[in-house]
Amino acid sequence: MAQAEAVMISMMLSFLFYALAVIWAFSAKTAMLSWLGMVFTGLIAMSIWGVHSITGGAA
Amino acid sequence: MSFRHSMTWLHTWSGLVLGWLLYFMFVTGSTGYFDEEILRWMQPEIPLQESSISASEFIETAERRLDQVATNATETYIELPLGRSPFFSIWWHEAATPETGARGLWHNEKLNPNTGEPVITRETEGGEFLYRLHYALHYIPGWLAYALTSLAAMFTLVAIISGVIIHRRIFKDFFSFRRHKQRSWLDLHNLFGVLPLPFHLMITYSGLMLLMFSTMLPVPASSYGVGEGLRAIYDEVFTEHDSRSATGISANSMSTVSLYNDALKRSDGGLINYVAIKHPGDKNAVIEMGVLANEGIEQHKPIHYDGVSGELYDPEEDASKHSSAKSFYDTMEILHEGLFARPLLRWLYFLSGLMGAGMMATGSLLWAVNRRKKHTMSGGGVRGLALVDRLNLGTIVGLPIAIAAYFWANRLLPVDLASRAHWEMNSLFIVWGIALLHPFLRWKKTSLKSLWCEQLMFATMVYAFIPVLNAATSEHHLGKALLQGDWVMAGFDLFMLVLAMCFAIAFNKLRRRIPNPSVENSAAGVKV
Amino acid sequence: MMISSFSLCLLGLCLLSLATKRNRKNALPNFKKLTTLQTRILKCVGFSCLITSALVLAEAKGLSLGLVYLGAWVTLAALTQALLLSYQPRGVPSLLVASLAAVIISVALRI
Repeated sequence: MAQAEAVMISMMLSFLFYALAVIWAFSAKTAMLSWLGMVFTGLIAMSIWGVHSITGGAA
Repeated sequence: MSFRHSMTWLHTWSGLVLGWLLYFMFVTGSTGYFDEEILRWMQPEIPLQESSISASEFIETAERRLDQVATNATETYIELPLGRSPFFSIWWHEAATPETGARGLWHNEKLNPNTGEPVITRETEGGEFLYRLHYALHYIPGWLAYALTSLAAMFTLVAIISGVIIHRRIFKDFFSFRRHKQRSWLDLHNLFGVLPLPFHLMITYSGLMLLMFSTMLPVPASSYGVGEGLRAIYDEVFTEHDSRSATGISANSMSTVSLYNDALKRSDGGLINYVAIKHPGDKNAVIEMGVLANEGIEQHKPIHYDGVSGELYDPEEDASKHSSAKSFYDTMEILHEGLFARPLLRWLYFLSGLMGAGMMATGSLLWAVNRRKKHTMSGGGVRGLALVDRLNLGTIVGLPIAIAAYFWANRLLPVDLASRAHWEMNSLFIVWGIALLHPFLRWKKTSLKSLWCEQLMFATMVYAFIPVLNAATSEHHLGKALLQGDWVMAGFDLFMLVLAMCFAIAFNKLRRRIPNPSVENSAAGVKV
Repeated sequence: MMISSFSLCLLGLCLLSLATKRNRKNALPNFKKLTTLQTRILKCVGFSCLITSALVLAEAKGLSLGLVYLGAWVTLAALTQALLLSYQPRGVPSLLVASLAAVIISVALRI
């Protein structure tokens, strides 16, 4: 159940992250800045996931 | 741009783009809190229970009927006309038979509470159709509807959060509604948004959450993969393991009535409004008594019995029930659906939902009012504004008219019409289409104010005459329902009259309002 | 404890609305100015009423249903307050007194 539980929690949190991302996108001073923020956080998240899958964590 | 300024921008546009869809979702979703009551009104064939009949008599009657019709049932279910449910009905599930290719199906029969005979009711989807509209829409495939409604809910979540940021002052200043001033639209919008803020946040977030298995698929896909793997997590989370399956060995069941009486003693004064039997006639039969919960947010606290020995039986709790993520999910679902709510809370749920609709309506009107102010100052083009004005009218007043049309169709369409339920639903959309077209067709000749007056007038009429329609087409007219204390029927009619009154007040206020000459024909600001 | 919790909400919101300058001016036109400290005290008492109401509800109905009722009660009380402030601001002090009485009576009767 641990994995299903983790997935449930992340799905339920995803909406908050989504909302925060939208607010960030609109509050950034320039369009460039808002893109950079998105790409940067996206890259971090992707790399965590990548490392996790390679090292063969729970995933 | 300052942070607050950009949030204002975000709030305005995210609200406008999906404002009408959200208005639609709030209105139809709110009706969902009274789905059973609406269904009861839409099936006037069911007579009122006239004499006091004890629950055990009801159970015996229902079992006699089940013995006739549900001989091969794997599960049967008796719904008693107690508590909120106004129906006396039986349900039975017939298993799929692979040889004939028949699918497993639930069957339902409504019984006459006086005689126990089945009642033939007209084909209708009742309140469930309105309720389903708020997330599954209509005429379009489910996945698209879920995507659209989730997108709209996401916009609301963003709009609420950004709204709280822009309107910080409301919490400081406390809500004050300046009804005579220019800004009264804004005040009304704030009021509808802020008063039920806990409700808005809960309903938006839980709504998103309920559809997350269609909208947030990439999340589970990242660890479960696509296809079969996805199915696995869904099953893991949601499947309720049937801890006792049928053995195929038949055995005599305990008398349901005696178990009912036993459960009644244990229930501490709680009502029992359903009796479910799993694997009837089998050695592994389980009898479940639906005791209405007196506390907490669960609707029922069922008591289970072993069907053969009559011992209390504790169904093995599903492991997933203990996980905190699943129980959070369940709590949000329970809060969203509000099935546990007794009349007072139910009405508050409904009113909060309507306030949500009011928030969307006033928000869209506010957009138009502000735009108009800008245009009169700069003298710019008004094409976009005119479009918004027309759609505002066609949605804000048009949708209630369309819902009334659904009720009218329920009583006026011939009972033996083929696919009658579909035509009831189509009527809603046909009438709404007309209401949306009306301001476009009569735009050149009439001012926006008179267009609003026309639709408000019409809305008043269609709602005011619903009790008359009910009296003419059924035996449950308002006077009789009131005398007999039939509050479901009477409540429906009375609420229709209240709605008619609201539209009449709006109509009256608008008619007496002195139009602003400078913007007369570019659609005078409408004020309800 | 339903009535006690609701009257506590009403009382709390009355105090909170009297703690803001504009509403106080409308509700009590002849009242002398309050110092910042006095306003703070009003706010504190108002919020404590709401918190007490939450505790009462959580005790009586359990945490989840208690929170649902709290949301409902605050919404209803705020609606009352908003209507009063916009149509009959002078009524706020009377409501304050009435809700205080209701709190005392309902707590005494445990309803």
